[in-house]
Amino acid sequence: MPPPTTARTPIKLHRNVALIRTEDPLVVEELMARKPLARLIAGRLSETVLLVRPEDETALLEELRRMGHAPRVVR
Amino acid sequence: MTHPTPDEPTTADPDVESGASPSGLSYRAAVAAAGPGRLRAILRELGVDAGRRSLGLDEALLDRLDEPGAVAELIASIGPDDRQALGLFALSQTPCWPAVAFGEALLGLGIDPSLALERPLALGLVAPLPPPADPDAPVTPLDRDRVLGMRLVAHPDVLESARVLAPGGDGPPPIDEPVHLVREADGLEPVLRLASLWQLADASPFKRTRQGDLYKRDRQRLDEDPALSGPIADVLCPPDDPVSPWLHLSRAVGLLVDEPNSDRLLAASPDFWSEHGVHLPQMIASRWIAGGDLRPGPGDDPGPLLGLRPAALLGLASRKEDQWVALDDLAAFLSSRMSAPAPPDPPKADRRRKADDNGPPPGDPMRDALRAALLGPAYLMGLVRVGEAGPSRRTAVQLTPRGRFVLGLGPTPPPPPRIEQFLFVQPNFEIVAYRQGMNPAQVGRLSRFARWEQLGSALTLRLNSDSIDRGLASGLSADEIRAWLAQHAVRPLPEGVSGAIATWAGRRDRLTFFASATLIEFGSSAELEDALADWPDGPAPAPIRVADRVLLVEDEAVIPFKRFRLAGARDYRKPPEACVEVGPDGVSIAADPARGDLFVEAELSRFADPPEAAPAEATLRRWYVVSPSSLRRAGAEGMTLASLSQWFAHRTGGPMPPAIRWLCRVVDLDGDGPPPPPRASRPMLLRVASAEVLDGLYQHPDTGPLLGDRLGPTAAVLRGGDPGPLREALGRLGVPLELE
Repeated sequence: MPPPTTARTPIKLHRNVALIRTEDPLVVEELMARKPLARLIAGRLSETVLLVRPEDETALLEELRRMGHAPRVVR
Repeated sequence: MTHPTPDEPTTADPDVESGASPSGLSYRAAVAAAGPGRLRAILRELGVDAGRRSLGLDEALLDRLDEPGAVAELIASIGPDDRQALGLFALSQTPCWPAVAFGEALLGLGIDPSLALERPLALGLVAPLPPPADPDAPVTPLDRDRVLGMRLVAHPDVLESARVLAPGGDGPPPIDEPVHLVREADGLEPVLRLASLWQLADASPFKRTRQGDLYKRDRQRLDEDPALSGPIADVLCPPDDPVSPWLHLSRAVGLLVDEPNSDRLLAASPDFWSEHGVHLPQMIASRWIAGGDLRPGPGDDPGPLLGLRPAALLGLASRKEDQWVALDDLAAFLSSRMSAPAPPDPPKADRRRKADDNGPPPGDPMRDALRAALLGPAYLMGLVRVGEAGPSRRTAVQLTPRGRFVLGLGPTPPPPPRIEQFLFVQPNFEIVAYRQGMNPAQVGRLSRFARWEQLGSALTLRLNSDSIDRGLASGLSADEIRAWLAQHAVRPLPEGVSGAIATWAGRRDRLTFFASATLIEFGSSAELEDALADWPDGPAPAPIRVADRVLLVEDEAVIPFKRFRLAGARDYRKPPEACVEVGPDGVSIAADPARGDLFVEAELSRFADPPEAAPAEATLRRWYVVSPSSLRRAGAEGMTLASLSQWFAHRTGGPMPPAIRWLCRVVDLDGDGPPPPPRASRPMLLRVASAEVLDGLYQHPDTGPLLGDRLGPTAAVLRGGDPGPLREALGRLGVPLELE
């Protein structure tokens, strides 16, 4: 009797996604409360992750810095 | 950031700069494009018996020339003019030259291009791309009307094995007057401008159009940058365009790199500065000689405008080190040998300067082009020094030791005196750096953690949380930054600055922005848990859970694809797909998960809510409903009517439904104030037997003004709701009006 084969898990890959991640959900709330920045957020992926459109990267980083944040940028 | 690799071709070639495929311009491509007759002839010259075969000839040629020492041996076997021709490739460190410009450069050196290229072409050391349409036609002469658009591509080993020789024979006549008011630039200006450009690309990559230009937004960012576009302090002939030459040179030297399969231009890795910083001035000069600052369109050829650069520099090199050459004499000398460039539009500054210049009258294109090249970039790069000959007051030029070194005709120039302390770090976080103490490596180091603000006789930079963050991201530690500043500062580092650097460094991990993350979406959170439990150990960072069903990986290469089945993939740099449908009620919206992406549901949830009772087919599509409360929430998060309209255009391929547009007005999404409320009233209707009758009533001067909106062919509203005036008017015409 042949050994049972393990079914491979289906996944969907999302490449080149721009997002902001923080450990603290309150930081996300703080960001979303600021209208100029909230306009640049495409949506929430979870309570600590915000999705951003790639073309808004410059404006978003500028706005974050204007708010006093020093985001670590991973390219 | 991306590391340039040795395999990547030099982007000094204009077509590469214009966005054409670099691989299409390699020597291999040129050989592959050659006809079998030409390849067979080359192989015969190289002593390779190709037999009668017509396939694989290109590979046979490549194999032969790739043999160790083969190219060097062939170069040693050809004549001095042939070697000088190949030396131009080595001098410019680019394997690819526009054919007309190359021919003009040789003419400027007093060399017949047809004779000098005969053997290199016959031996396959140089190949034309594209080859002549007629396979039996010779490549030379390199006349514009014959070879416009053609490139001459050298075998890569030519760049290593060939070198230019000191020009023999006649040269431009030396000036016989004393030269005074001598000026020589420190050669740092191009390095500083490129450093400033690198910082801008590091802050946010540039995007290129299909034509190779930058998008307007990025170009504007460069034009408005005070450091990059600011005036040059020590300049004799300022460039017409303060941005484009530096941009093209940055790509040519590899400080900006094209992201593969993308339209983005990225900053090179900070390691570039430690690896190439010392040699950067020489790299810039070499690429400039090959036209790395130009961006002609595909098939274009700068011709003599480019050819005069090596010709002029080597012409100056034919004179002794202490001899000067008048710019006019050099122009006359070159004009006697090569074509004059097409007259350029004179820059404003040049027009102003000509009023004070006692040289020959303007209008000589060769003189103007030489002036722009030698007194412009060549002066800024420190290749030439410039003076005034007396008493004629003619402009005189002379190669510097750096210029001779770049041409490969002189030793390494002595380094400037070392000044250890050259920085003033102010308590307001401004840094003033004195150029006399700077060198390219230090420019690179400062560029990693301080933002260039002004490039003048003194250089100013600024420290802020962003610049320190970039410094940390480049691999420096806060202590290293402080120690380096303290080492080179004239005064002790202000305590406030030192403390702020530590504070900024400590705050950095609170928020992370991933510019191009790869996300793995699982069907369920259980599947994600299983995948995490079985994730292979390795040196790469572990995946990060960013949602119940989503993992983030920094490097896609670490994904164990053997355990997964790829059910779909989406690249978020590409435009969003239309994957949303609007229901017939105008407020229900359905997202198609098969065509959708991560954004679509996040976007939908900003201005719509899942319905309380999902429609029967909800297993296939995810439904949302737009309501006043959901739109108020969207407004609070910054959404506007314009942004929502744009969303519908992208996601549904159509306009926003009228029902939602009306709700947007109801909740005052744009803050213009709500619209006036709808009004309800009881109208008095007039009905007639036929449309013809109603047409007559509308037109007649007694009855027309008494009628309001027409509701149909035979019905209209009575203006004012009172039938009295109409009854009287009709009565005068002998027509009764019946009231119901």
